[in-house]
Amino acid sequence: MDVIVKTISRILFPFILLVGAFIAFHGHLTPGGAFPAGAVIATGFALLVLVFREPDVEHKLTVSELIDLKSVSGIFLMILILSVGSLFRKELTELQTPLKLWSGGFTLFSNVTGMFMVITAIVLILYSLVRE
Amino acid sequence: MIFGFLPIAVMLATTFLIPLVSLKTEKYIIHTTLAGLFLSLLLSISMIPDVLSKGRVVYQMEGWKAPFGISIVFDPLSVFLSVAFIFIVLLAVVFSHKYIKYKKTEYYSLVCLVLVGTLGVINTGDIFNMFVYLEILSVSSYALTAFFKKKESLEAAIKYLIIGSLATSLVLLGIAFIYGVLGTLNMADIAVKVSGTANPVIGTALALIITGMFIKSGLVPFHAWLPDAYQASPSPVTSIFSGVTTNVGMYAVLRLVFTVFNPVSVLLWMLMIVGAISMLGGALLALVQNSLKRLLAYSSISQMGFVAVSVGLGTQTGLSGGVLHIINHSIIKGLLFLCAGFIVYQAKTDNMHEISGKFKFNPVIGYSFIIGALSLVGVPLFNGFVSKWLIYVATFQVSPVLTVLALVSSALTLAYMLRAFYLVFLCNAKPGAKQKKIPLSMQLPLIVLVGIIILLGVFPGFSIDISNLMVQSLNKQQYIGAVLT
Amino acid sequence: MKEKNRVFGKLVIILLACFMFWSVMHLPPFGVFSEKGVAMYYIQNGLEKTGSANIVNSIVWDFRGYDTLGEETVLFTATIGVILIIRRKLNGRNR
Repeated sequence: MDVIVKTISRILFPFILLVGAFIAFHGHLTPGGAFPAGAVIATGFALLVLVFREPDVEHKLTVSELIDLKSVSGIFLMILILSVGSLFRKELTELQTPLKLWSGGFTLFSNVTGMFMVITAIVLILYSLVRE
Repeated sequence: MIFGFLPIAVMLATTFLIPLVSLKTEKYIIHTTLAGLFLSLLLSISMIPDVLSKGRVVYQMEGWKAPFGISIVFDPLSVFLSVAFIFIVLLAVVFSHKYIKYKKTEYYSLVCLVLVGTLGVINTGDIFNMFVYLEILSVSSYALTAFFKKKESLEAAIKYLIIGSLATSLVLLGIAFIYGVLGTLNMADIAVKVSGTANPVIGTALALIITGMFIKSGLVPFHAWLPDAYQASPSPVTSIFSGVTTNVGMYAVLRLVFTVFNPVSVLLWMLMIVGAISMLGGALLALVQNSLKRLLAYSSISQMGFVAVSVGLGTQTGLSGGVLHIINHSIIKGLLFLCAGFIVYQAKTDNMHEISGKFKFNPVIGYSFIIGALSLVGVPLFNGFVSKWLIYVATFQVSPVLTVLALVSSALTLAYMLRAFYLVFLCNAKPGAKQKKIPLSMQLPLIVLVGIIILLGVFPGFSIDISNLMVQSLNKQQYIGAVLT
Repeated sequence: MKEKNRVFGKLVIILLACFMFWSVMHLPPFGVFSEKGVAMYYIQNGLEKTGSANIVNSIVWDFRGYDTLGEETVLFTATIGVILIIRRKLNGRNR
């Protein structure tokens, strides 16, 4: 790719991550949440894959790392939703102040973990589709 | 108590753990899978005494009261079906230890996901939750169909994908209609509210959902995907498809028609007609097949037709016959598809005329196959007899025409199973057919399943008691009372 | 013969479409929802019980968290399926 495109996307990529992270971390306050945040961040990776060659990106962030991240976040999400969410919700909401970042019970954690699930899913499918 | 979801949670955790375990080596995947399945089976079995004493155990997910959160309902129907299905998947996984030689990570994850979807659909008390888990089940089935990546398996997978997605979208549309009219998704809450509304949208929604579930269980007008998918998928997977996933559609129909909505006569007639067509059509189509797995696939359609006819009668005997036939059919078809898988594994071909010479008679496979075949026909002393007898009695009480149809289908079953047995085992007199050593992990599931078939056939009282309990759990008032306390 | 089948199929589809249209006419109008349903409870108690100001998020992750776990599992399934069908091998693992 062109050097301009490369430079611009190198500059743009952290901001895309930032927007995605903002959407995920503010999911319980503003419209958004895990799925949009994951989609936004995955578009950042799509940009990298299209601009730099796919093997180079995959060298930095390998498939096995992504799958492991996906599995770990899946287990974490399962524990969060199935046990922690039902056992400690009341205690957690009493510690927090509503309408602040630190609120929403365990929804904050779920949003971030769910975001990782979405990112890994889209990036893995993207890798597979671009390579073959 | 909030830990009732443990069988599903264990399977889900196993699924997520399998890629982590295969980080360094693929050696421990099978151990992880088997450990997860065993744990899940034990947890399901440990739930039986509790369920039997209380009649119904309800868990509210995340502690929300019934119509607001998601409730998980364990009653005899769902618990016994879960135990049977986990058992079939366990045996299929044992069988696939030597059968699957590459891509183990993906394979075992997807098999576990099929089970997750099945358990989710069977134990849920919420129709949207049912849709979500149906989707897990379907997506993993599409992927497993294409496992071999040959031309025909990809074609079958695409066919299955398109028809199956149509089915799930019909189900989703029906659920959306129900939510639009009644404003609730909880099954018990729907059952309460539906009796007070006379809105025609409810009928349309029910028709959409039931059509989707018929497509999922492969009854005759909607069976186009089934033989291809069964033929192209790896044999343990076929055993899981036939023994587990197609039954999920029938379970959903049972639950929705008899517990959630009212069993009006139009629905029952629909079930009976579709069931009779698939009973006869499946058997007739099975007669002319040359491929062993395709024959068994059509036979599967025919047996699901038996279930649909029996359920469509709506009587106590008919329901217990149908429910028992679901379990018996999954045991028998699990056995037969594993046998077929073994034969295909040895002969490297699926065509029955070509198998003949390439495969030497082996007592374990031969006797397992003939016992499975006889049990499928409904010969006494095997478990198929119990449920088929109940079906004959129930149909005779309502309309003897159906009994005649069922008997004709059973005779056709005998015909095609004997044809398959003759072509595969008896006309291979060629000496010098090379014989591979049979791994123990492939023999063990067959022996266990044969043992279960004979045990359930020799002591029919046990399974009849179980089926009566399962049918009682379809009672609408008790269901509502237990969920909406 | 084939032409006749095609006409018959079209007729059936048109009939089904008319039936669907007729039944959709009976849906409650847009924006009106049943007071007895669960939606009102979510709107009134969502912030208080779960503490998240975004009602969608409180429903998705709290009231119906089990469903969302299922959706994430669908994503997992789709990924594994795509890797199974499209990729030749997972790199970084011995195979």
